[in-house]
Formats: sequence, C-alpha cells, structure tokens
Amino acid sequence: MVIARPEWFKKGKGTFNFGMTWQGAVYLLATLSLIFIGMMLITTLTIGGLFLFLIIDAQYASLKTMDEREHLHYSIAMRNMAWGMIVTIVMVSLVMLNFNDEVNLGVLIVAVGLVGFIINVTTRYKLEKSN
Amino acid sequence: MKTKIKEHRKELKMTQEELAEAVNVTRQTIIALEQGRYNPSLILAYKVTKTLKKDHIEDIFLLENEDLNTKT
Repeated sequence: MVIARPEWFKKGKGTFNFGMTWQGAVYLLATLSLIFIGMMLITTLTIGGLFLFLIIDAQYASLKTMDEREHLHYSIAMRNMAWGMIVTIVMVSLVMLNFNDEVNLGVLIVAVGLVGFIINVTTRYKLEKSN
Repeated sequence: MKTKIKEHRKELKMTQEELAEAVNVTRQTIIALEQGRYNPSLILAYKVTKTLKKDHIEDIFLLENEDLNTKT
C-alpha cells in the first residue's frame, strides 16, 4: 500500500496496548471521520470507497508489523470471527423472520459486529495465554 | 519443545528485548519461545541460533518425545 507506514501501528507490550504513534492516530481519525463527511456529501460512494481503501491500507500496514506468531494468532482469530459472524447472520435472520416477518438490518449489523468483536478478542486472549 | 534460549541469552548478557529486535519479532514471542509455548518456524529457529552464537539448532531447541506425536 502507499500511505500508512507499518511503524505507525507498531504494537506495544501487553494484549490491549496498540502503541499507536501520533501519525497512526491522525491517520485513523482522518479515516474514521470520512464516515461523517460521507453522510453530508452527495458523493457518498466515492468517500465510502476511499474510507474502505484507507481501512484496508491501515490493516495491511499493521499486518506488516506482526511477526510469525502474531500472524498465526491473527489468522486464527479472523477465521473464528468470520465463522461466528456467518452463524450469527443466519441465526439472527431466522429469528427475526420468525417473529417479525422481516429482517431489521440495523439490529443485524450491530449483532454481527458485536459477536465478531467478542470472538476476535476472546480468541486472541486465549491464544496469547496458550501459545 | 524445550529451549535453552534463556541460559544462552544470559551468557551473552542479552535482554529479551534485544534478542527480539535482533531476530525481528516481538518480546512476547521471545517469552513464548523461552517458556516452550511456541514452536518457531525453521527460519526463526535459525535466526535465534545464529544470534545466540551457536552452530546448530539442536544447541538451542530440544525436541521432546511428545513433539514427535504432535500433528503438524
């Protein structure tokens, strides 16, 4: 990628210490702020594309700072998260269809995001303890 | 897998942080290696061995019987 630098997102000591530099913080803030700009502008699609690009760019940069053990943890956590999210989509949709005859997209997104986050954090914590 | 990283590292008066930097991994990975909780890749094992000024991987990493039965 072209903008984010790996050293901006170098992880510090401890599980939840991401040790981001000010450049990394500014980068993420600018990236996240694009959501709000996107709401106000007609060119939401362009902003959305840029937002996605920057998020993926940052993800790519942070991946480069990981060593082989962290790569392993990341991959396993992502796999578990993906499966958890797929199962949640199916289950929540089925429950909603059964009770409301329609799927509430907002609730579905929040539920899937929450489950994904919990699975990711739990997996990483367990792997950090055991491996 | 048992390792002798800690004792050889101390012989060289090297900290975990210094070893981690030398082999380009995090300190957490060095801790996991020293405690035998993580089996490194062949390349990392070589890097650690060379950094600790040993000739053979077997001088640092000791394969145990239970490792032979582990699925890889």
